[in-house]
Amino acid sequence: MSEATTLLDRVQELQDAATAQVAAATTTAELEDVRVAVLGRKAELPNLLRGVSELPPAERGAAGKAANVARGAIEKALAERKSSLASAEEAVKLAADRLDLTLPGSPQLPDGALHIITSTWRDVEDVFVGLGFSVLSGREVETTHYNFDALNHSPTHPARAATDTFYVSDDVVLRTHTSPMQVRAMEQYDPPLYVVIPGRVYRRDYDATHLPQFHQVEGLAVDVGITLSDLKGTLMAFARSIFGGELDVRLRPHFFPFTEPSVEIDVACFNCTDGWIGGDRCPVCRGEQWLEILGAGQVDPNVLRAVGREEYHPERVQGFAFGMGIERIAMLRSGIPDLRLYMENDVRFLEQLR
Amino acid sequence: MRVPQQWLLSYCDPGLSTAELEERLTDSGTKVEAIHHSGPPSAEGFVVGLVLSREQHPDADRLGVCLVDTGAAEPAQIVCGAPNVGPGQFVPVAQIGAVMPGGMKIKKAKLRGVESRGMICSAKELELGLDHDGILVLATSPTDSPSFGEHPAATNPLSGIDANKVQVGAPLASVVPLGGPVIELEITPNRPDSLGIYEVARELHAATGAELRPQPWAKVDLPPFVTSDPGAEVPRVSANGLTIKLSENTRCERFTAIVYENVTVRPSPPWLAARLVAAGQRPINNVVDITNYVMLETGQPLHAFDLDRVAGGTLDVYAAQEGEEITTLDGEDRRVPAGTILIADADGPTSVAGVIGGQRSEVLETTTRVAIEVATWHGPSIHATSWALPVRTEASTRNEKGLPVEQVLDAQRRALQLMTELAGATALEPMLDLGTRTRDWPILQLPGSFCKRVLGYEISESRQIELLRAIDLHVESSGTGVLTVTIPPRRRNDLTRPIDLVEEIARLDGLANVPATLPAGRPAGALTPRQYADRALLDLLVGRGLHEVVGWSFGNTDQLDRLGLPDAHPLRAAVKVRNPMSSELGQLRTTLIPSLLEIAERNVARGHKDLRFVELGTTYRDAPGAELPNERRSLGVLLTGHQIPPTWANPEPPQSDALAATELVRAIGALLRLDLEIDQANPPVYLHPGRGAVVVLGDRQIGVVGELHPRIAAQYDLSGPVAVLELDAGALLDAMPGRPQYQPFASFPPVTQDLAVVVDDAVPAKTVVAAAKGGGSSLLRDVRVFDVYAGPNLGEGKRSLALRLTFRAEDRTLTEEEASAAREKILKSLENSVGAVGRG
Ligand SMILES: [Zn+2]
Repeated sequence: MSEATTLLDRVQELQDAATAQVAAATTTAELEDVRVAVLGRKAELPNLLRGVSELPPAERGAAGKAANVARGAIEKALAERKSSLASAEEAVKLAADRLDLTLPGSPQLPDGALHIITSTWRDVEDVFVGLGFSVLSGREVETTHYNFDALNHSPTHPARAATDTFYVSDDVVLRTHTSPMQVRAMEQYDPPLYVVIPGRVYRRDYDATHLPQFHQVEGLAVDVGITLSDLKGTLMAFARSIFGGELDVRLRPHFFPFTEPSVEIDVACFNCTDGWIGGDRCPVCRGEQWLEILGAGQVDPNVLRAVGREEYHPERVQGFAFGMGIERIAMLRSGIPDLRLYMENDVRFLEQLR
Repeated sequence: MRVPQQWLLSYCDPGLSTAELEERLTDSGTKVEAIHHSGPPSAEGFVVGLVLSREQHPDADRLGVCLVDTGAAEPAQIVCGAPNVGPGQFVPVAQIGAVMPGGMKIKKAKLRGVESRGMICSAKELELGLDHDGILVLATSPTDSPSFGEHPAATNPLSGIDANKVQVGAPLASVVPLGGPVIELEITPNRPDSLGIYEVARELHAATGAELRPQPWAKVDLPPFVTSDPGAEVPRVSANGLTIKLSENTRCERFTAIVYENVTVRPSPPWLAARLVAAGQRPINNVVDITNYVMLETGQPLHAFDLDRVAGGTLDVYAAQEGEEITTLDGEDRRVPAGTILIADADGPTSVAGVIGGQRSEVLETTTRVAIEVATWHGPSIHATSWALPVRTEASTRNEKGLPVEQVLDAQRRALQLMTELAGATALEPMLDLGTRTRDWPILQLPGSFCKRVLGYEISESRQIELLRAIDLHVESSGTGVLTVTIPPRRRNDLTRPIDLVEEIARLDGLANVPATLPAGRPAGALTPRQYADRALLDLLVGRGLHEVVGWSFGNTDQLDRLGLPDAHPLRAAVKVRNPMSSELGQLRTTLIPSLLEIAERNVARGHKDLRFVELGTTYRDAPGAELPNERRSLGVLLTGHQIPPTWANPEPPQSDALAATELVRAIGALLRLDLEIDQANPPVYLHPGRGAVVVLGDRQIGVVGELHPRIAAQYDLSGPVAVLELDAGALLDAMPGRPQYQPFASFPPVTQDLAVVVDDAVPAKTVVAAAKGGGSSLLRDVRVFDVYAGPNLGEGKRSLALRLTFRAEDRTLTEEEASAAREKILKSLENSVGAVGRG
């Protein structure tokens, strides 16, 4: 038996022993001990490799190769074992690192909310922006000229009474509607004019269905050839967007000093479109099947004339105007029984209708 | 206006149910507000009975026990308390099971131990008028001791009742009207004509095509008239013991009067009284009721004077002097404003023209001579008088609209007919008639294409003509596509332009025919950057956990007193409301803070302690000399209680304080890309003197921030710090710079170094930061305060601020050495500028 044969056998023995030790290690720490023992500086196999140089040249090749193969095999076994032990150990560790995720999150930040008047206001604005309208705002303390006279109110129109309208002086009022901005807008901008004007308005009334201050959205479209049919189509698109579905709208003749013809517009009750099942009658429309949502009409030629601009002469342009109550839309959509709740600002109300 | 259905249908009956009538009227523009019911809900159980006998109730002085023949198998025993009930009377009987107006059901009952099967009714109980003597006696029999089953004929029937129908056991409804539906209409201010029920019937005719019967007064002949000498300076006429003088003849366009003799004043017949009751009027006596009935029917108010109580037989229409007084029909002593149109007799004012009569000339039961006045008044004057007194009557609501002079005769005709029939009166010739008897009938030209231009859809010319004629307009087609339309007097004020005719055509054609289109030329809509920023501002605060509230625009001086504002403080410049709902809402708010405090107070009272509110709304300041006050968009914030909700992980989070509010100022500045500075030098009086500041943008004060003065917070029952913030949001949005432009990022890394300095307490942190920035290092990019420390080792009145300095060069990677050199330079500068001492 040559020296080399003996060496080869020893390599094989060391490899087998090392592999067995690797397999027997149960923790990564034990495995590290095994690695030091079999491949460390003082271990036999690496030192055997150093001894290869002392062999006769003809034998060096086979021995060196065998030793390297053995070393490679052991390293591979170590790596595999390490990976398997490490992942088992990690699993144990993470399993112990448990957090009760059903506890409230932290830090908890408070939840804010827009008031339902503002969120409804924005919804209405957004629908009309989508229909091609821009948004204007107007002043709330207004002259009787813009609030009444320029809007074709007769000197005896009941709305002028001090029982109905807040007066600051003989000819200054808190605006009773957003309509004064119709004339102001036409004074300021050239046609074509497609604008909505949301804002706060005032009337001397205070009960469950009337507040002395409330919010309206005025609409005004003045262009060449704007018709009553355009008014109906625009407001139908609005109603469908705000209340959902393919709701029908109904025009009823009415009277407003600043429109002619004047109409009131009802939208089919979104709550009982497909018939009402349940109690006595639909609580939203009280069984009427229609919800009155706004007043509207074709801009009265007298209003166009009150602008005093040739661009708005009634022979050149015509248009429609409408006005609706924001509180009423919110009330219908959210089932609010008493308008006074809006002014209470009770946190429970604010949180409910966010 | 309440319109009894049967009354309406007596002029035009389309054969529709009440619900269908409601729909047709509403759809064509006469809006039905509600349907009421007058009289018993059903005529069932109400019959004509004959009282056979009346015995005294054994145990009750005031009650009688009657046997009544109601046509049944045996007489009904009915206990009755009316003093006038007696044998031989035909009376209305509510039998067992009948339901009275108001819902009471008649049951078998024992009254003081005596059985009663039914009820003998009074006129009032049946809503047929007033009770006069007690029960309603329909007629009497020739005998006052009729026997059961005898069924004698009725005699002496009540006025307006057909004796032949008064038969024992007959349904009561065949003898007197027993109520029915009452349609309440909303009459818009442009349609005073519809304040007459006959004109409502005309609308019904136009809306349904059903025949409109002629006006009931159409064939009544009026006496010939006398009028003033045309040359007279003051129009005046005398006849039949009555002199009329129009001292005020511009605001009285026409004044007519007919004098009646042999007038018998008595209760109105049930048919008329029932109509008045159903229409919401109180029957009084036949003469007064006739004036009310005719007004409701024609829309034209009229007034009856007891001519024997008109002193001197003179009625003078004149404008009141300062301080004149009159006792009106309702018993009120009223002082009328100068200029009010009054009617005086020889003893002074006896009627407020067009509004309310005077008590002195009221028609009473003793009256035998009556003057019926029908006049046309200047609408705005009547309106002014009505609001000034104030008194609103059925007459004033009609007269204030300005009625046509021609309509006067409709009322005189109908009154003449009824005065003759119901009061046995004799009308004396001639009628007195002063003023304008007729005006022009306006003629409008309506191009055939105009409807389509306004409406957007076609209505044929023949249909247009048909619809206009249905409301009694005279229409001629020229054949050139233009309709010539003549307007009758009662629509003269309303139909003045072709567009007004388009409205009539559209509404009568039916607005269900309007197609839905969108304007062909509509542009793209968009919010402006400012409008988006306005939303973002609120969204920012809502995202930070604030609840948006909506407060009153109204406020009061007490709120400003509570803030301790001196008299000349700008927030005192409130706009006063002349006619507020209450003194608490007596002026417009100049600041959002009081209403935020009130909202907080209310919520705390309801058990909510941690409150974070924001309001974005208008505040108002009086602007003397300007036409209108200043309005600004203001942002108000109130924070109190915990900053964040206490949780298991953080059971005692910090309280909201002034710094919680200044942090919002920073965030708002960051959102709007504005440098908002806090200046603590002169805090507003209502803030904590050590924890209040103003917010400054450039050189302009733009708001206030800090903790409310604890004494003020206590007035609102708020304990602990209450942080507030109020900003001129409109000015912030105006100042917002334009769209940001991209700047390349620096490519070389920054170096940070910390620097702690000790300074006097009084030196604001922002001053130290500003001094560091101005400290001469061109490499310095940012300075932040990351720690604040005060302790005995620093000495009294001193504190340490730790600054994190960020350095960067644009052209190279800085070394620590370069940064340290810059830091030293900054420290030196701070030593000089703010007296800082370096702390290692
Ligand atoms: Zn419904």
